[in-house]
Parts: sequence; structure tokens; C-alpha cells
Amino acid sequence: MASTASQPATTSGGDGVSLAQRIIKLLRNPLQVAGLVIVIFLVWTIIQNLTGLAAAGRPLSVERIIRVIIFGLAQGSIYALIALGYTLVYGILSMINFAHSEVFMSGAYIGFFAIHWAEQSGLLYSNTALALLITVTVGMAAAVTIAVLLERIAYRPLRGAPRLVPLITAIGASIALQQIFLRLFGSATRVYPEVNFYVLPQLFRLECETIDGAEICKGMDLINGRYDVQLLGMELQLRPIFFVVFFLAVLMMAILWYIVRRTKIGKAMRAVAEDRKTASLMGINVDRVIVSTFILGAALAGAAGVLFALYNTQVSPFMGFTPGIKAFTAAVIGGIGNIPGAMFGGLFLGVTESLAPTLLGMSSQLEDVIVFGLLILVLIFRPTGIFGEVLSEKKA
Amino acid sequence: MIASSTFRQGSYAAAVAILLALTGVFGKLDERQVVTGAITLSMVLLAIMLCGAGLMTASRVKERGIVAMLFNGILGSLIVGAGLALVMLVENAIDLTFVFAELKTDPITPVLTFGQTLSSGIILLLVLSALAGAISGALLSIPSEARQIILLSLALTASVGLLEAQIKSINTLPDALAVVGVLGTGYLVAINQMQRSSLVRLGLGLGIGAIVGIVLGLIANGGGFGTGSRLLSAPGILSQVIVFALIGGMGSAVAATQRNIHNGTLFVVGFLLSIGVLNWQNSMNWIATLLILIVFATLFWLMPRLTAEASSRFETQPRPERQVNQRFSLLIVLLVMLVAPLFLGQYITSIFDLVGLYIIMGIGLNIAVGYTGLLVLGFVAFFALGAYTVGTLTTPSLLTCGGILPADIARADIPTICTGVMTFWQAWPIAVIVSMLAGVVLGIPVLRLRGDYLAIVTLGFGEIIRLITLSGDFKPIFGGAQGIGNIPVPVVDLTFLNPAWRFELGSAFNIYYLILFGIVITAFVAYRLGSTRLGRAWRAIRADEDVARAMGINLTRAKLLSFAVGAGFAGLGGAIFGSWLQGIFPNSFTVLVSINVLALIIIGGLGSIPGVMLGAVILVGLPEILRELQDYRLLAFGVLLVVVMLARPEGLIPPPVRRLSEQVDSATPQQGKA
Repeated sequence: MASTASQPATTSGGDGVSLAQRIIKLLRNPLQVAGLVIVIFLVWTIIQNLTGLAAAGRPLSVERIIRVIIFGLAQGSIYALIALGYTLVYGILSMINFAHSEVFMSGAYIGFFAIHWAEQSGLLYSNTALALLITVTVGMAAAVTIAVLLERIAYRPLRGAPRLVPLITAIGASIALQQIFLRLFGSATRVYPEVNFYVLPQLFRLECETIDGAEICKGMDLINGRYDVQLLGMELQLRPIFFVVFFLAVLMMAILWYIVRRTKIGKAMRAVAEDRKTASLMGINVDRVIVSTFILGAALAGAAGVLFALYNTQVSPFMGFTPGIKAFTAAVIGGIGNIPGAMFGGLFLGVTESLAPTLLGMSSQLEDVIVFGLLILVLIFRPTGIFGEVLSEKKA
Repeated sequence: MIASSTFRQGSYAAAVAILLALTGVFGKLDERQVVTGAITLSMVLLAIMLCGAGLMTASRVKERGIVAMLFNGILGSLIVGAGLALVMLVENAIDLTFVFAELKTDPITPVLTFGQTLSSGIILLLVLSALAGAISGALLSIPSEARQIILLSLALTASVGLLEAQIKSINTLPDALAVVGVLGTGYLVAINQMQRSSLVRLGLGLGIGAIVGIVLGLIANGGGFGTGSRLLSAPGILSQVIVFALIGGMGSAVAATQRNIHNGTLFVVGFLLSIGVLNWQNSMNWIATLLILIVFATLFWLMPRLTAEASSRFETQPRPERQVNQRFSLLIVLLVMLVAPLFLGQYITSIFDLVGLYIIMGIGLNIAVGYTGLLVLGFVAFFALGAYTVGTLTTPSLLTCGGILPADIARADIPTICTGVMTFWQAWPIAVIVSMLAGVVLGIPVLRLRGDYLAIVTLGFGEIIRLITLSGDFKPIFGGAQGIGNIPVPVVDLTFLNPAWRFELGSAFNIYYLILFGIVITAFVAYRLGSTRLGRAWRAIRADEDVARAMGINLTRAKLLSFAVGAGFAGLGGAIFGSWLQGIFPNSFTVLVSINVLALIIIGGLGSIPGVMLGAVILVGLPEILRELQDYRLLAFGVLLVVVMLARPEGLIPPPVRRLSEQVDSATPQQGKA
């Protein structure tokens, strides 16, 4: 967490090493050679696949690739938001918070009750912006509550225990939370109501009606709309919600970045991540800093949960599992404990998993296989992740 | 008078109780009777909640005397009762069923008002809470030993009542009395002959057991004493003599043994007697309940005294004597396991089979997690690999038909083209090897890294295997969602000895022996590996990686071996699983299986083989029997994992701490190589 993107990674090869020397070093490691072979094979498969498609007269359309990338960026920003929670906690406690996926789920699930209430009371239609704001706030609050309870009950008593112990508690807490939600709220999948959130009728003259001769437009539907757009001579079908998710995620990440880098509590967090004991000697309340880390991570995850549910519409107690492990994978790929790493890792993973089935000519059933394969490949070449520095092997 | 902690703790307990109540748990458990016609499981749950709160709050004021304990106990329980009453009021005032969906089918009010109207029901509930609080306060003021006896015997009696239908037919009262009589005689004789060597004592026990067996058998065949008894009316006096001789021998062996075995024997005695009582009364009525309560109370009163004596007798023996004793006990346990299915019936045996498979997997995972400290979260992958290897090799498939799809071959030609089809016995070693290789291939890139990465990569790997077997792309090999069907059952063909000896291990009875064999082999290998140089290296890595490396241990190699051996055991379990069910489906291999295995070894005690067995019985066996609790099994898992880690991180049966003196002892020449 203490590192930034500006700090150079120092795993293989220094500045004074020539390219040839680097290649020789790479070839000495049989594992990396095997990894290299796999990478070459993958590239070859992609080329084969593309030329094969071209030969068959149906080359991959650029429109489709752009659409897939946009979807991947939205999905990836959800991963990034969750991954930040993993990475923040890992940076400070050196512990995988396995229950973080359930924090994400609880945001989406409790958010459902808020938006359902808004729908019943009519607020969702009379003042959509306020209703959505309430939903996101409720989701974030639920996630934060769960995370704080989690830290207090399951993690704090075990601080200083051997590494395996809090990890197992985290798994237990994750299962328990999933099951509590399942038993309390039932096993039926809940569906977010359909929301039409029209904005900027002056700018986007869409869905217009002519009433008494005057054309009245509703504007662009940010949540449910699908629009065909002419761009650079391409015919693109776009969903604004993906852009909304992406920009909101970037905004939240920027806020997080500001908090960690510029505020007093952020400074305290970095200090605790660096050296907990010394930080406490400097008058930092370590418990409070750790709780605030959990709160920050949970707020992002809760917001991610609501955003995810807005375009996926279905929520269930098990919805956290897959995004959760993918987000963790993203955090590891980016270099765990490293904030820009988690952001980059999430986006990278989202785009890769949406693009890869198309490029490799596999069915999209196997997209999760690709994700974990990617993780193993990254770990072969950069054991500490893409942005990770060599972590000092200090004991927790 | 009132401690501030009472309100805090009371409200924590009330919050938990309300949360559970909102899941509809009371309605779900109301069907199951513990004491016939009187007490249901939901009442037991309510009693546990109320008394639990009372005990918690009262124990905080222990030093302030009995009045304070009573008072705070009552208050604590009342808070919980009031919380539940509040939920009932809310349930009746507004419709909660949209949010709390389970309340639609299982509302709280009818159960917790005991069939009364709402107002009188709530008053009744509050009175009961106060009563429960007073009882818990009083319980805390009596000596702790007496309290433990009361609580434990209540718990065990309740569990006998719960399992009434499943266990009633296991044994009869004469059976139980005969076994306890013979066991006790052997025990007493051995105590009186302590000065002699353990072999002589064993012989005495065996002889006395045999004589008592003959006498009992004669009496039983003459009079009506043994009616309905399986043991006493067994065909042929010889089998009776053998069985009773062994029981007598067990009695004499147990007279001087370690705590665990001694306690275990006493538990078995208690259960035999209580099942006998249940069988005699034919239902869990009040007489049976009372008698069983007395049996368990006596047992728990005797247990610490007898066990302490037995283990001190064991400790004072010279080492070779101890070994004879231990081996004999082990032999008896094995023999009991061999004949067990004959008594337990089809249903319980099939549960044993499942428990056994989990024990095999648990022993495997225990090598990785318990011995070496590698957290593996996707263990099911290796189980699935074993199952699918056996599945593809023993049926006509792409592999066994020389690369031709079985669907493209005419039915009549399958035997001539698919010459690669193997029997189970040829296929299982390949399954084990495939699983081990997968472990190595996965381990090489990951095991060099920080331990946490292994957890997530294996979790991912488990999902990958499931998705690959599920996916359409690999359908020709793995059959997609339909899986692989018609897997032949293992056949033990001894027709060259006797034309009738051809056993198909297809039924729950027959596969039991295969699984038992698997457990014995894996437990033996795991136990012996644990005390080799490699095993010590594993433990060193678990204790401290840096120090282990400094001591010259090749970390990657040792970890890789540990990971691979564990994977191999899982492969064996999977191989048996596939041929037992005669069909495998991708959805049998979800992440839940991995979590089950992990939970059972953690709760049993990391690194301990008896712990694995106990954990499997508790976490796999119990939920199978308590079908009503199926829904809450995973919730209990999750909570158990957290609670065990907080309260008893070493598990229920932690591995024995090896003392230096013992290791020096075992290194002495007359013991040979350790």
C-alpha cells in the first residue's frame, strides 16, 4: 500500500542489464520457459483464430470488440472497487479478508430493500435521482455495518495469531454471512425493479413525444437505455449504464486516492501498513485506523454491489462469490497491497475476461478458466503482481 | 445487584435469538420430537437459548454470591424472552413475510406461544424465561463437576431422543447388558492382575469373555432372556464365543490405556445401554428418558475417576507392554468396524460410507494443511480428477475407444473397439497418479510464493475443474452436465477359490469394506509419513518457514510432496466415489465439498488423524441424520469455524505434542528405526 506506481518494480533485472542478459536469465528458469511457451501458444491460437475467421468470411467486427471492451471496463471497474477492499485490508493486516465478497453482496442485497421501498412508495418514479441516491447510501451503510461487525467479532480478537487462523475465520465468516442472508431473506432470487433514469432532455433528444405541437423529450435513460450510435462510421449499440458505472467507479477511486494520500487518517493508514508497532508508538490509534480501513473498503464494495445490481438486476446471497474471487485475483495480479495495482488489475481482468473467449474461440462458459489461468501466468513471471514491490518477508 | 454486563450480554444473546427466530427456525424444528409427545426440537432450542443467556450473564457475577447469580441469570434470560416476545408482537402487527421470506411457511408465533393466544403465550414465554434464568443461576452455584455431568447427560439424552428412529434397532437391552457384563468382567480381572504382563492379562480377558459368552448363550437359548437379541441368538456357539472373547479381551486391554481410548469405550458403553433401554421401551417415553439420563449421569460421574486410574496404570507400564496393549485395542476397533454394518442397517451404513469418503479426503488434506500448513481451498479438484479418471477409464469413452466417440460406434461393436476399458482395480492407481501430477503441476508455480496465494489459486483451480467438466467444449470426454454414467462397480472376483465368491461392491454394505480399506491404508500412510524425515520437515515448515529453510530443508520440494500426497489421497477418494455412485456429475464437485473437508479437519484438530475422523462424523454424519437441520448445516459450519478458531484454535482432538523424552526413547536401538 505504501508504494506508488512511480516506484520502479525490482523483481527481475536492473537498469544496467542488457536485453540479452535478461533473456538468458529468463531462459535459465524452467518455469518461466514453460510460461513463455504457454504465452506463445496463446498468441498463436489468437492469430489462428482470427485468420481462420477471416478465411471463413466473417472476421471479427471492430464494433463487436469495442462493445465487448466497454462491457469489460464496466465489469472491471466493479472488480476494481471490490479489489480495493481486499488490497486495503491486506496492506494493513497482511490478511485475505475472504468475507469481503459477502460485504459486496450485502450492499447489493440490502440495497434491494431500499429500492423496493422506493418503488412501492412511488419515490422511484417521482424523484429517481433521490431514490437511487438512497439506494446507494443504504447499500453502502449495510456493507459498512457488516464489515465493522466482522472486524470486531471475527478478526480483532485474532490479531497476532498465526497467519492460518484469521484466514480460516474469514472463510467461516464468509460462509456464515452467506447463510444468514439465505436463511433470513429466503432462497428466492430478488430482482431489482426496472428503473428509467432520464437525464439531459435538452442535450439528448431521445424518446420524444409531440404534445400540442411542441416536442418534449425525456432525455437519455442512464440505467436501462440501449442506443445505436454512429461513431467514426461504425454502428455501435451502447448502454449508458456501463459508462455510468465506469465513471462512478473512477470517481470513487479518486476519492479513495485522495483520502489515503492527502488526509490525516490516510497518512495514519500508511503508517500502520508500514509498521504497526512504530505507528502505535507515534500516537496512532491502531484499532481505529484498522476499523477505518475496513469502513473505506466496505463503502466501496457496497457501492459496487448496488451498481452491479443495477445492470445485472438479480441479487441472491451467493452473488458475491464469483465477483469476490475475481476481484481478489485482480488484486493479486495488480500486486496485492498496492492501490493503483488493484485498480489496474480490476480493469485489466474485466477486459480480458470479456475479450478472451472471442479471441481464443472458446465458449464463454470457460471465461472463469481464463481468469485463473491468467492469474497463474502472471504469478509465474511476476510473483508479486504487476505493480507489486518485493514485500519484505516480515511476519504478521 | 445488577451488573452492567448483564444488559450488554443479554442483549447480544437476544439479538442472536431474534436473528435465528426470523429465519423460521422454530417452525422448522417443531416437527421433530425429542421426547415422544412432549418435547420437540424447537423447545430444546428455546431452552438452550434461554439457559445459555442465563448462564452467560450469571457467570459474570460469580464472585458476588448465589443471590446475585440467580438475579442476573433471570434478568439475562428475561431479556432474551422479551426479545422473542417483541418479535412475535411485530410479526402480528405488520407483515414481515416480504423481507423475511421463511416466515411465510414457518411463522414464529404459533410455536412460541405453545398453542395459546398471543397475550397468554407471551406471559407463558416470559415465565418460562424467568424459570430458565433461575435454573441457570442455580446451576452455576453448584460445583462445576456436577454442572458438567448434568449438562452433558442432558445433551446426550436429547441426542438419543433425536435419533430415536435411526438408532432404535441397533441393539437390544440384553445385548447391551451382555456386552457391558463381559467388558466389565474383563476390566475387573485385569485390574486385579496388574502385576502380570499385559499378554497374560489379555489372555485372561479373552478366556473369561469366552466362558461368559458360552454361559450367556446357553442361558439365552434355554430361557427367554435373549429374545430379540442379535448377539445372544447368533447362529452357532462358535461365533458367540469369538465375539464375547474379543469383548472380554477389550475389557482387559482398556483397563490400562490412554485417555482417549478409555473415554471412547465408556461412551460406547453408555450408548449401547441407552439404545438398549430405548429398544426395550420401544419409544422415547418418560421412563426411557429418565433411565437414559441416569445411565449418562452415572457414566459421566465415573468417567474422570476411571480414566485417570486407567491412564496412570498405562503410564507406569514398560514401553513394550504399552505397545501390545495399544495394538490389541486397535485390532478390536478394526474388528468392530468390520462387523458394524451387520448391525447398523442399510441407512446408517450408507451414511458411514459418506463419512468414510470424507475421512479419506480429510486425511489427504490434513497432510497439506495440518502437517505442512498449506491452505488449500480447492481440494475438491483432486477429488473430481480421481472420479473423472476412473469414470473415463472404466467406461467406453474417447480415451478407451482409441479416439473414436462412443456415440459413433454401433452398440454391438463397443466391446471389440473399446478395448481400453479397464476394471476399477486397474483404474484407481492411475486416478491417484493423475491427481498427484495435477498437484505437482499446480504446485510448481504457486508453492514458491507467499502462502496466501496458494489459497486463492487452489480455490480457482477447483472452479476451473468443475467448469471444464461442465462445459460444452469438453463434452466428448467428460459428458458435460450429464456427466459420466454407467460406471461399473468394483468386482472382487475370488471364483478360483470358491465359485460363489464373486462380490460386486455396489451396495452400501459392500462398498463399506472398500472405503474402510481405503481409510486404513491412507491413515497408515499418513501416520507413518508423519514420523519420517519428510514428515518432520513438514512440521518444521508449518512451525516456521524461515527457520526450516535455515535448517537446510528444501522448502519447495517438501511443500510440493506434501501437496501431491494430499492430492493423491483425494484422488483415491474420488475414484471410490465415482464407482460407488456409478455415475459422476460436475455438480457433485462444488466448492462446498472443499469447504466441508477443510472445516472437518480444522474442527477435528489440524494435524491429527483421530481428529479427522471425529470431525467427519460430526460435520458429515450428524447433518445426514438430522435432516431437519440440513438447512442450517452450512450456517453452523461457518459459525463453528469462527468459534473454534476463537475459542480452541487447536481443534477438538489436537495432535499429541511430541515430547523430547519420547523421541529420545524411540531412538534407542531396541526399538529399531523410528
